[in-house]
Amino acid sequence: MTAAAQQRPELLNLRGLSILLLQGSDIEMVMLVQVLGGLGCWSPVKCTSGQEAMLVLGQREIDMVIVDAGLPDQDGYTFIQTLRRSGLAANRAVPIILLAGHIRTADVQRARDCGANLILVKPATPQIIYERVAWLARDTRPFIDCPAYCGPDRRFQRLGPPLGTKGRRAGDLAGKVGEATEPNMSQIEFDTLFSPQRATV
Amino acid sequence: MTPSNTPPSRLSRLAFRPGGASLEQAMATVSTRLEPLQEGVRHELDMVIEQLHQDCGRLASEGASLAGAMYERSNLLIGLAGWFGSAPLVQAAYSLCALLDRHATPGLDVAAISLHVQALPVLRSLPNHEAAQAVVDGLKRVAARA
Repeated sequence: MTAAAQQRPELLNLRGLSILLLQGSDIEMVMLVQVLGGLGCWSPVKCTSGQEAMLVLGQREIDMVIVDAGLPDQDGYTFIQTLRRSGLAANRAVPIILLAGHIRTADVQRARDCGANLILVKPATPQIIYERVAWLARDTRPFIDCPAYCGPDRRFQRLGPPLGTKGRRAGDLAGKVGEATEPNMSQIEFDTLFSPQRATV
Repeated sequence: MTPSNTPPSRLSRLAFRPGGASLEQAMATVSTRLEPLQEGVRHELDMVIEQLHQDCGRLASEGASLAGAMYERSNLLIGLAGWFGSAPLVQAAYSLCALLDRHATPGLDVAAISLHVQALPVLRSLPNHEAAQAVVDGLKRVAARA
């Protein structure tokens, strides 16, 4: 993203996008529908169970899913894992926001590894939903599909593999940088490298 | 497999088309739409608090099986109180969830759980100020000792 684009105020426009809401609580569903309406999505697809949502996802292309961690027939983590591992080519990599209240200690690792793009911890205010959807739309992390995990890259920073270990990603550098053998460059020397110079012909 | 060039999603391609709304504009629209629903959220909130009260009376005899149901109700309360805009109520419900989660196995601290449940209607009626925060801080201390 360019610096100019970063400075522009975000004008989020969800009009015409297919958003699936998967929520077991009626009142929270109503509130979420109103929030999305305010962002331009007037008619999201509403599902109250994981089974119903999977049927919808098998029939039409969806642009974003917002799923609650607590569902009547299964939990949100299982639903996301099932979708990511499904053969639904059009939707298995769809951006997913997982809405969670308190996460049981036993479920913390499942929440991390289920394949959600983002976990939004309640309270989910309209402002937070706006900001997270905008963040998700700018998210450029690659989609990982391997035996141990299926979903967006869980690393938010690109720091490379830990020291002394061989990287697992194609873009990880294998070589060692080693210790410095010369003194650091001065600021003037550094600036000179990037300054335009008159060429002598 | 790790694709190096994952194509951008439709959400990424379309979310910033012309004609969108800034955060301020969107919030103005959303608050108008949510206003008529606030009464319904309050009613639902009161019902969940009342259910927790009833559960609490049977907790000592029914133990861990009821604690699971109470955990679910308390988690629902977090979501509802968030829409209602009550930060102290959200924090108290979190503390109650943590207590019920930690004690889902034998060793349920009924007294600490009852104290949390009794505090919920108090926090429901108090506005977001120091008094409510003091109650929440007290609940957190109780939960830490439980």
